Amino acid sequence: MSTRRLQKELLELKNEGAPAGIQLLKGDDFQSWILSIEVLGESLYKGDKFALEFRFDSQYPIAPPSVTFVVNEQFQAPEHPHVYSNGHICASILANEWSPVLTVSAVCITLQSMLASCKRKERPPDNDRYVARAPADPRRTRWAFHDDDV
Amino acid sequence: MNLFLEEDVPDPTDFPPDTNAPGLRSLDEVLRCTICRELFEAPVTVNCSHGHCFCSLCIREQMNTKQECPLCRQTIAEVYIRRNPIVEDILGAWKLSRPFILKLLEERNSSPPATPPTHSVTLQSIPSSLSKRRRRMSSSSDDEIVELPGPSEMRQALQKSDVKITSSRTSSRKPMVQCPICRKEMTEDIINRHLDDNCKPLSTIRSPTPKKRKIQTQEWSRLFGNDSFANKGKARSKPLPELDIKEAESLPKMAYDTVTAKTIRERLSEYSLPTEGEKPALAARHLRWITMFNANLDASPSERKTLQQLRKELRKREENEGLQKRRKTRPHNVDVNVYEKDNKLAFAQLVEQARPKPPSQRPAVQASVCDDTSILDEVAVSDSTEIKRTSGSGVQ
Repeated sequence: MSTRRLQKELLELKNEGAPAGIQLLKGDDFQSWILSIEVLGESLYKGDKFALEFRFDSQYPIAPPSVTFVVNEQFQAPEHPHVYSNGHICASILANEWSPVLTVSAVCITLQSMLASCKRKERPPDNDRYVARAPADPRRTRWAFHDDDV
Repeated sequence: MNLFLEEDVPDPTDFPPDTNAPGLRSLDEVLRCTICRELFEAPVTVNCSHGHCFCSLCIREQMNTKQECPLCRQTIAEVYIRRNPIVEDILGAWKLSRPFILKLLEERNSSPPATPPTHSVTLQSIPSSLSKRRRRMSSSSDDEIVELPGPSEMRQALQKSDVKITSSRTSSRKPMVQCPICRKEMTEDIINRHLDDNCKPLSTIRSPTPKKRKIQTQEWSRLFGNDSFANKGKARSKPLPELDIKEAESLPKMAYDTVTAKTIRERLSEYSLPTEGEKPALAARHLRWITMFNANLDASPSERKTLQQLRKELRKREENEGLQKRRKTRPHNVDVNVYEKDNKLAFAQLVEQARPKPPSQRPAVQASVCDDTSILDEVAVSDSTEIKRTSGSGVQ
């Protein structure tokens, strides 16, 4: 199912265009896609461009994709209370609140609004401890969600 | 760039927007499952207050992980899944008319608007004048409505005739009775077995033959949990006679934690499924089979896949997953090596610390151990803080 569904999502991104501020950078297989994301309008991240990497397995969309901010020479993870410096994101929809009706572009929009509503640029309080021991795949982390405002 | 886009995927955007063809695009959109984005296959309604509709297989697979409606997050239960035959009928008609409408639209776009009289002529000449994309498009949507392939149809026909033969043969000699529960007519000699099996479809029960009797004793022995009834040393469960999918009933789930791998193997072999693999693989296979089997029953009898088709599908999906897993493990191994290299210094330090030291240095060592445990404590307590981590996750 995963490839057919991804084909359809890709087709939609190409035919109807990605949502405002979001751009497909790499989408040439069914394992991983990279999309760039910008926060439009007034926000702490004005003018910044970030990249999100989506990794899919055969269980998609029943299982969530693994979504991280790309951290390399070109891109950095945004400084945000729910984003670790290794690019891992603490967001419930990527873990226990994932729903199979969500799509790549829906996830991008959610993360875009998470950045847009940020009040203070800072790393999560346990950033260093987490980054030192984080699994490669953020889906292996057991997250505890506490911030309902975002 | 997009090798894999070569295969054309039918999609609502095949239709022009509402300004050119009012309603068509949204019609194609609402007839698609929000999980797989395909036209509904065996559509079912769940028991959320909105009555949301999904493909049976999609929602059943989702419910193996979570009992909530994907669209509204209300709690739902599998026993309340109901078939949606009207949507299924609408889809049957839509699958037929979809390629036809696309052809008409194509024609309207390609031919100048001032030639309505030649309508029927142009219609016939369309197939050759279609663009490559459209042709592929319509052939792939034809695939969606293709009936069962020949061999399986023959098999079904054979099964049916098989049943008829047995019933006519037996009815000539034995009096017929009606089942008090399912109201099916059958001969006297099989009614008890039929009732014992919770009204199993007739096709699977025939008058007891020596072979059947053996299965009966096997089932008794299973009941009593020993081999005294069955032939010792022989495989106890054999594939059940191929049942007619049109009369099949849904299969119950199994509590995999409480049964042994052997029991799961027996269940699998009843449906002629492969029985290799460890218990987790067996359980996954059995769960998937049951999910697919029960989802198949939510299609109208004429649309159902045969057991053979289901088996093929199961194998294909397992193969797909195997491929993905192999792909995944390769970079994983590299990660471990890189990790080892990157942390060589830290490892060396830890080894140094763990070495027995002369008594004068002991306090220092204890201090570092304390540090470690305090970190562990923090991790364990951190339920209330940002994250919890599975033990040992840092190594990956």
